[in-house]
Amino acid sequence: MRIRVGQAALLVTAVLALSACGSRVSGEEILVGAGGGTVKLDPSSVAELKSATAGAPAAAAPAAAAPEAGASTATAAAPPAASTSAQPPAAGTVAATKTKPGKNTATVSTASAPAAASQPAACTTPGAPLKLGQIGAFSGVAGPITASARTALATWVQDVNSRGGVACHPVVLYAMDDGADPSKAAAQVAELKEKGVQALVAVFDPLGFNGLRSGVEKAKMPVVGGDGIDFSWNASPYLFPVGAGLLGAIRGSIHQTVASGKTNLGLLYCVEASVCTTGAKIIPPEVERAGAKMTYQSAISLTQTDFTAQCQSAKNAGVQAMGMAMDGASIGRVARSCAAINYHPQFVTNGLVLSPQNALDPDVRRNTLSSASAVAPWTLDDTAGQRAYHAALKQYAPSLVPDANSIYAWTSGKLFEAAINGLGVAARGKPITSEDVMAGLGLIKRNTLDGLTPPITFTAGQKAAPLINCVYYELLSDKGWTASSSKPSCL
Amino acid sequence: MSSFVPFLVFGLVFGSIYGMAAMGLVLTYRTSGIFNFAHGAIGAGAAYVFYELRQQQGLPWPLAALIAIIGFGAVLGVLLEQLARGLARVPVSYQIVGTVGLLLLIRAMCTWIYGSDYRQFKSFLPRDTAFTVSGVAVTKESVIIFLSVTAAAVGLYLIVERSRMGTMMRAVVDDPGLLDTTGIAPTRVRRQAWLLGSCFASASGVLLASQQQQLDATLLSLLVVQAFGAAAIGAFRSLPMAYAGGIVIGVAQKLVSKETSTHAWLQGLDFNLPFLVLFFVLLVLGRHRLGDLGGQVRLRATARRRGMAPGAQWLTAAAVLLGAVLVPQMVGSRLPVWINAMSQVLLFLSLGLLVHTSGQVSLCQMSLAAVGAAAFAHAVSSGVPWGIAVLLAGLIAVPVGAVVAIPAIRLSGLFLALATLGFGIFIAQFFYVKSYMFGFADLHTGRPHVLNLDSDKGYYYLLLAISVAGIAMVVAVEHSRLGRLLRGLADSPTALQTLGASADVTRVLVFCLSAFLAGISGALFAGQFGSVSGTSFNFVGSLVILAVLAIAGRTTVKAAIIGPIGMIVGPAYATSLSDGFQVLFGAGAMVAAICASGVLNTVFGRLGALAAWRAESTTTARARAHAVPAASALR
Repeated sequence: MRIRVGQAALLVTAVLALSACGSRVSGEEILVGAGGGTVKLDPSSVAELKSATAGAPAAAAPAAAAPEAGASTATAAAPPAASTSAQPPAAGTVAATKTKPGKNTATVSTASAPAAASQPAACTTPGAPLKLGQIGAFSGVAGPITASARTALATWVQDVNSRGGVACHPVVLYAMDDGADPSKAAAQVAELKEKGVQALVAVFDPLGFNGLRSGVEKAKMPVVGGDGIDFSWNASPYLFPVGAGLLGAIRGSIHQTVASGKTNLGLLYCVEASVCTTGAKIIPPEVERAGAKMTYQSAISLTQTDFTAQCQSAKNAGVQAMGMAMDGASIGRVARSCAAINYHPQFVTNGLVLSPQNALDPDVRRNTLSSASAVAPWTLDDTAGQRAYHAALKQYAPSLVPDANSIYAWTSGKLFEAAINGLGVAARGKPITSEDVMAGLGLIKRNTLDGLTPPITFTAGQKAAPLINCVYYELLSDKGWTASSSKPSCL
Repeated sequence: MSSFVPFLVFGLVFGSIYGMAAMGLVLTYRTSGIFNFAHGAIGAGAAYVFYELRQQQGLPWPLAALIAIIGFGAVLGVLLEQLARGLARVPVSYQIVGTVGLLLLIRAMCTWIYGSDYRQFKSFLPRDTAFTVSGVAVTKESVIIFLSVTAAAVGLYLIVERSRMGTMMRAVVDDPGLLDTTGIAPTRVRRQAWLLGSCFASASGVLLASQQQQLDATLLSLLVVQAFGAAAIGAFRSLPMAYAGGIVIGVAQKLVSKETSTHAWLQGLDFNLPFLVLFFVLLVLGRHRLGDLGGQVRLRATARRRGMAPGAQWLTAAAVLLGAVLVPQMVGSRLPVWINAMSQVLLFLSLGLLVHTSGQVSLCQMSLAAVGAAAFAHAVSSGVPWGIAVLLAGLIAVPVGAVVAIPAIRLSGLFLALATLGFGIFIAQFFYVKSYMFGFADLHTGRPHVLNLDSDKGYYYLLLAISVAGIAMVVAVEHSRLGRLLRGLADSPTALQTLGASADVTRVLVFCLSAFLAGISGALFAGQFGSVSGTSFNFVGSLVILAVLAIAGRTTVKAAIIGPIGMIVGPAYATSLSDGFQVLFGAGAMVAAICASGVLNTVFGRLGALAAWRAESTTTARARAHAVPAASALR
């Protein structure tokens, strides 16, 4: 009898495990959604990407040329080479693409497709597939935060392919999850190089970045845009950030806080991650530099259950705004602990650390949370670039809530697009190489990507991307995320 | 004085929850001899059940609470009692592995099903102000939590001390055999204790989630680590003292936090207080006052393991070495993953030396590796040649290992593991950010710039050579007098001493050697990517390594080779499994722990006998465990 009980327990465990599997995205969806990679897209996003493209005009699909010689098996596993990695998976769609090779020419998307302005002219001949990679910490603790960046880049791929690809090259995306493991990141860079990937775009890997950097420098592969939360972004010839880096964002946040009349600042930083402790190193001197006072500073643990002592101490120190170098979950707990003593300082952090779920937290909203970001606010649609972003999300991933990570990823895609288009017609007739991408990036001069970033300038052969000290401001309050302007504020 | 009041108020509320968790922990440990590292994970599981029923299925909160606390707690209690019976027959090191495996399993299952993002947990208790103390509004929720937890604690105390059930529970601790002869099955009593303990764990999980209005599997699973300090204050025996310990820790944490807020060098002391308390209380009490309820079964069979013939051993070693040499030619772009795995071989060796050879458990190996990594980075930055920097890393870790050996002298088995856990967390959360360790930013590191060793292939072969040297050293140690002493230590420290050998010196030696290997492993890891930070040396990693070590095999060298492959290379290849690997590690560790009793052998050969054994009391099972031939017991 007892053995039966044990067996039943095992059975229940197995059923539970299987039911857990059921709530996840199938392997097929993963391949389709992310183009042969291994990341998990949110199921709703995958469905939306499928249906959006299934309903898209056939002519919007780029040339469905056969895969280039030597195309990797991953490409074959994805929808036809010319179709995008984010192409819908339905067999019908694949077949339709295959049966209309002749028609997939040079058609800029119809009115329903967003922003085709950056496409210089119609494509007459489809180029070789342009293979891009995306690596990020898409599982584990960071997974929920970076999820929107993954979907947004897949959306950009859909969008750009619907407009004929980049310089007539259909884009294939390999998205990979390194689980925040630097060695995996380095291996994935090498693997992508073997697959013929020409560049990484929208890398979101703050915890595995040293491995990734080491990998791209060995592979001589450019990285175009990403989270920017690492000083390395401005310290390598292969890294091309979108807009301001970590230092710019911190300076901007402090500037905004001080400008709003809050001159007594505090700081809480987690001890578990170097991303947090880096903040503890550079924020205090920046606060002094901005003419404000750091009246309270404390280490915290991400596993800490209660922060009332820190809140009480900050309250006693007269802290008006509190820098939060920690994850979104901890910010929520700090908000509740502070609320328990009726203390509601404004929080200041990088919007990238908040998942959409974090941003719904009523206690955080009550405190208000300000953020300075490198790219234009995702809440506004003042510029052509912002409008294109919103239109693409609406078309391809309507349930994806716009947020910082998704617009960073989108902007990364647009920066890549601008770099290749900057090469002119020369980019059309031949396969694009990593060197071409680097050359194209070197031609970016004071480009705002249709109002998505402050002016970005790169130089051919640069040793490191220049620092940009222009940022945008967002505020999370009871009204949700808001922003007052789409014009960058330069310090 | 009034400035202290808010800290006292909130310290009491959280301290009471720690106390509640600690009481459940002590109760099950006292009655079964199994210390449940998964106690907090049970609370996490119950909180998820409550969330599912109330917020997803729309059940009224009293019903959801009843099912989550009583229903879920009871079911898990029964299952845990079964697990505890399986673990009663294995050495204490495997008992630890078993419950650590359960912790990893429950945490991973919650994350797998609900995702790693936290969920909003709607508070089910009124949050309006009950009264105000020194300007601090105390919510009704806080008052209800404090009163209900205190009432539950008093109730549990009365049950244990005044009721018949309590008498039986105490009897099962004192003399289960005698209880058996009175017609009361010790198993039934233990089941009741597990049931009660699990309900307490479940209640603490639900209350904590409600207080935080947040559902986070990792956070709730680690609640129990805070409760360890409280249980230590009760010497893992006294329920009232465990509860009082929770209150003391809760209040002291807040007060320390207030005082340290103005001293930068002391910051971090507040949230590390439970671990410091755990470490020092264990050290002060020592093994004689603590006892070791689960320590009866020793890891004695490793001394008499039946290995392959020498020829076959050499052949196997040559084949493995050949395979390792060919890795760069075969794995292509995944070489960085193999390099990472190779850097961990010495870390697994260091733990295996403790667990497999000397029968001791350390839960701070990651912190020792971190010491080595930081030392290496500082040395390299100062211009010290690479090879000497690696050696320095190992040597600097040695005194830290010697500090860990102090509890090893005073403690054994479970309490040693707990002390090292507290020590490891303290290093990670207090010292990592100090400038003499990692400080506030990444430290620069590097690979040797000679003989093309800075290339991936070159670095891999360098690590392979160092790993082979490390394995050779450990094998030499195992075959030396020290090795025999270590195995003697695992068998019986008392017997060792009667033969004139010093068990304490042996303990210090093995911990120093283990720290040396862990430190070098940290340096090799740090050298991979040109920079290193404390982020890579999370204390939870020490638990995962122990679990993987248990799965990887029961000989030091085999586990050091298979372990890194399973932990690092496996997930890099089976990418679709992702979080599923944590589930596998957890479940695998539990199975490995139970099988350490040789139960797998008997399952196939003597299923009937097994059924009979399961019907018997644990006492008889333990007695029989001693009769099991050594070769099948621990091979």
